[in-house]
Amino acid sequence: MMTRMAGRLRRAGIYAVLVVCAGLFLLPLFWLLTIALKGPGELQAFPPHVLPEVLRWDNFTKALTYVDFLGYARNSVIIAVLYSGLVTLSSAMVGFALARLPAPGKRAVFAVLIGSLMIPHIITLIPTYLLFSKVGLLNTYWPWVLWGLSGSSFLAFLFRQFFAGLPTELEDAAIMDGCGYFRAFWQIFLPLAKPALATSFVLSFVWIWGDWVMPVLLLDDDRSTLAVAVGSLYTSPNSGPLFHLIAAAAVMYSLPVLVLFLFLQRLFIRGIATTGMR
Amino acid sequence: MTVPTRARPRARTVATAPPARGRRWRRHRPRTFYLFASPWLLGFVLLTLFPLGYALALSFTNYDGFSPRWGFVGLRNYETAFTDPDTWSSLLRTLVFVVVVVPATIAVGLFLAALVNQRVRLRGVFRAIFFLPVVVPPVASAFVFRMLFDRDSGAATWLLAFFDQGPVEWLVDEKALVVLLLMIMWRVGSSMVISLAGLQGVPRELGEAAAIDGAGPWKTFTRVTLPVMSPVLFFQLVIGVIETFQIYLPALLLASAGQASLNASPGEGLYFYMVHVYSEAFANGNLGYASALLWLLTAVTVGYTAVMFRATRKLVYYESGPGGREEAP
Amino acid sequence: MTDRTLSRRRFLGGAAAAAGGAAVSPWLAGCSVDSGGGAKAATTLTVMLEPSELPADVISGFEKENPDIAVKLVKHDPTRLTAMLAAGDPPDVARETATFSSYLAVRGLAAEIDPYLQKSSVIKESDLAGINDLWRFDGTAQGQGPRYGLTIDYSQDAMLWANTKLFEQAKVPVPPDTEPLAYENLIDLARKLTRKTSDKKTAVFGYGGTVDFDMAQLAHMVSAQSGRLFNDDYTRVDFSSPEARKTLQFWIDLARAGVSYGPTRPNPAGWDGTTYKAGRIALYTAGYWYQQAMADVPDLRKASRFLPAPTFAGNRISPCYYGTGVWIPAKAKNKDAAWRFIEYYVGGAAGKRRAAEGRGLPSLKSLEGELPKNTPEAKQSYDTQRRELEHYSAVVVNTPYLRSESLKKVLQAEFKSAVSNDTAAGKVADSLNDQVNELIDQERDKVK
Repeated sequence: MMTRMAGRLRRAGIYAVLVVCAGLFLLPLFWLLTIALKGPGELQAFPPHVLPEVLRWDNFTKALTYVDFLGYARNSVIIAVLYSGLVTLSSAMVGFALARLPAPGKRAVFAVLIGSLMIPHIITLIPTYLLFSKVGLLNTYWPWVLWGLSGSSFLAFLFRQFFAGLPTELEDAAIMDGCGYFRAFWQIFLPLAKPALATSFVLSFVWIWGDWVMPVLLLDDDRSTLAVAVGSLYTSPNSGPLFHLIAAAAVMYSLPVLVLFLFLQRLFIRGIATTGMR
Repeated sequence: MTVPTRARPRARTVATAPPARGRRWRRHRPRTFYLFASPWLLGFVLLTLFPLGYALALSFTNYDGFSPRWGFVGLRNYETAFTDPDTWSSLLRTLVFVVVVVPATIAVGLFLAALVNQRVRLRGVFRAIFFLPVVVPPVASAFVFRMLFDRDSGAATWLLAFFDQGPVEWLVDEKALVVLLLMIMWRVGSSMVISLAGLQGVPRELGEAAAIDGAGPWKTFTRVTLPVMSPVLFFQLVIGVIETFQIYLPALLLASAGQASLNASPGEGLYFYMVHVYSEAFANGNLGYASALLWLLTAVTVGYTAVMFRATRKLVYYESGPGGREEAP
Repeated sequence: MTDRTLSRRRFLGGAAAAAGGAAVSPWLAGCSVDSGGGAKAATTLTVMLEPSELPADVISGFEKENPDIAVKLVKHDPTRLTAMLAAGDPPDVARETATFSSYLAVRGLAAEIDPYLQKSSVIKESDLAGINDLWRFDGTAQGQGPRYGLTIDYSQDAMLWANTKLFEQAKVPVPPDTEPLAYENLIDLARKLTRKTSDKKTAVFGYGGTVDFDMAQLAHMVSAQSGRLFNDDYTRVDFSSPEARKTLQFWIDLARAGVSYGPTRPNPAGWDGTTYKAGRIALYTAGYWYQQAMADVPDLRKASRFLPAPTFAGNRISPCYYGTGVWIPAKAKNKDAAWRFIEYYVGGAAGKRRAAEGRGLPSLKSLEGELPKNTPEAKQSYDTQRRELEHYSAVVVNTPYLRSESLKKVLQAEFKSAVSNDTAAGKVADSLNDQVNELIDQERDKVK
């Protein structure tokens, strides 16, 4: 009897903590929405309004037209899809090699790969800019193609872990079937790796969708991405930053990745749990 | 690394009769390995090693990008780095922040993981809610936190007013660190899922055995769960320290919401080591000096990583070894 | 699509085919958001300005007059400009303020524009407003020698805007627009105008504008006392003179008075212009340009009275602090087209339009008549501005060796610590002298 009571109390306690935490985690998103629905002067008004006086849904249509939102969205999608597709493929190749193909020097390659996770990549910003400028690739999407082709250490690690977990009989089967390593990779291992491929794709998609530094440095305004538009283009010479429009744009900018996450939760969680990439 | 991959491949059992053709491929394996690894290797050399070398070369000059007579200055930039008070104060600030943020993130992540690992209704929904902020783009989350902590109109002010507390100038001085801390804690979901995977790897029998021995839930947690989880937590510690040490973009975006630019200055409260580097590079135009500062950071990071990994090599590398393939021919 | 994108696409197409990805190549050239009209242009002119300064219809107006030129706008960003200069591929037209332009000339980054100016039928040298002299540099000093750029428009930035409604609420008489206030009395006046609520919130700030060691403000107030901040060849700065110390003390006192936003209480909106527009600042330092900036709040515009720049130590001078303008990089690839753009932008239809909207004083004296005066409030601003022009005075605010960003960083840090710790002006001056002179020495190494 007593233990049952205690069990119930404990259960109620857990629910209470869960609900409070959930409220705290959702508050910022709720706040963003309230700002997105306020009028232009409401944030500067005194005393300030906690909630919008009138729900200004037209902020969303204004945010779509104040800058060419859809154009920037298209650029974001192009860059993110290009990069994610390429980086997934090339990282899968490296991960496969690390997991299944013995070779002299492999341990060194793996050590370098793990080590490269630790290099502050932001160190390469200026040299990278000079490099791309010298070869005439500024203001194009080629840098993302090149980064994609060269793979990501995080994702290579993800694939290595995945392929390492597959049974060794697979190779023998491939050998029996008489195919070479490339065909074995393409026809046997890759199809088995669908979950890892999907994880890698959505993780890199979300990452590029959110990236601000590289587009701001490498792309001109009219070819840039949503991150840059939301980060700096909603200002007016007369009023400074237009917070209500920034909020509306930020809602629309975040929505695709939030929806993507809600549909593909498992993939995200598996990817992050394996690589620790955030 | 220490996290078990959850793949359940359909094993094709095949008669193991290694045919002669198999042997022939094996001879090609080294070449095949490097062929498969070549995109990454090539990219690493061109897009990481080359820029790193370039930055190293710059660090011995007073290059600023536009002055005509820049040149070689030897080790002067490195000497300056050690005597520059901004370097030391920003380093100290960063260290303090790391010491607070990393353990806090790991602890809260573990706490939430333990919560959503309970058998409760809507467990999936709660997990999703806690993880959701991780996918919110940094530009958007920095904007939200700036508005939440606006002195006059922010939600934080509104909450404080309930307790009859006056408005606080959150984004000035060291108080900005609190906002940044909360902004980072909001994304604790990634730490949560790593710990959750670890928790799910704790065999249930272990906990039950402890319970039969009369251990309470807290004792079971500290004596059974934590030891089994230690590699997972250690991994988070290593990565967390490195990441937090390089903190730059959240500080910049938080300080310049709506008007983000590479040469914006986050101000004194958020003057971290990387902010110092970028302020030197972009506001002052000292690309040479900034490169020296970056190289110092890289050297320290690589050293730290090497030490940490050596200390726990077995834990981190071998545990989920690749099905014995490594050592086999 | 223009020829430019076609040729780039072709180039990239070749590269992509080599990389085995020909199918995606059209995407990789980047998708221009404003793909614009269908005109064929031989030259692509890269212009680096704030997007708000160059609306799409100004671009299309220029392209219509010059069908052989297509304008590409790059958002002004000093980091980006540095990277472009370092890579040897600068924009064709770039942006800088007149007061901080000499660092470009001393490093040979900007092209001389005198040859273009002499041949121009749109812009006559005799028609240039005085502010343009700050774009001249003779190798040592600003104000004489060849010209390296032109101002777009400018203001006398120490002038004040008074929100008359807030004056009435505080029962303080609105100052006349014919007689200047004195900086010495400003803090007391702002105190009377500041209104705080019981819960320690500020409903109305008495004063608004940059509360900082703003180099232009410092130079202005030192000049008003006939002092100077720099030596003859601009290789040394001196904040320790009595004139400079008095100036430093004024700003420390103002910041400590708690009548404005400032270093210990930054404006959450980013700048005070927004707060003035919300009717929460009584006295706001901004030049004539602000009359257009507040045009979208008509009630406030009507309630605002434009006032002369205050005197300091009894002397009245009224300089320009910025004077945003355009310059042509020495390594620009399309200098002739760049000049045509500058003609259109400064003196042509675009310049005329900006003057008529009152976005600051035009760079050309002949356009001054275009300034708006059709409403009583516009007339009041116009008349005050006409009188103020007689007190215009060019003040050199920087040495050629420093960039505004690095100077600003030192000054702001010092100001903040001085205000927080209530440091004496003399000590602040010594510290500033050490830091700024060291910066000058470092930079001179790379120039001479």
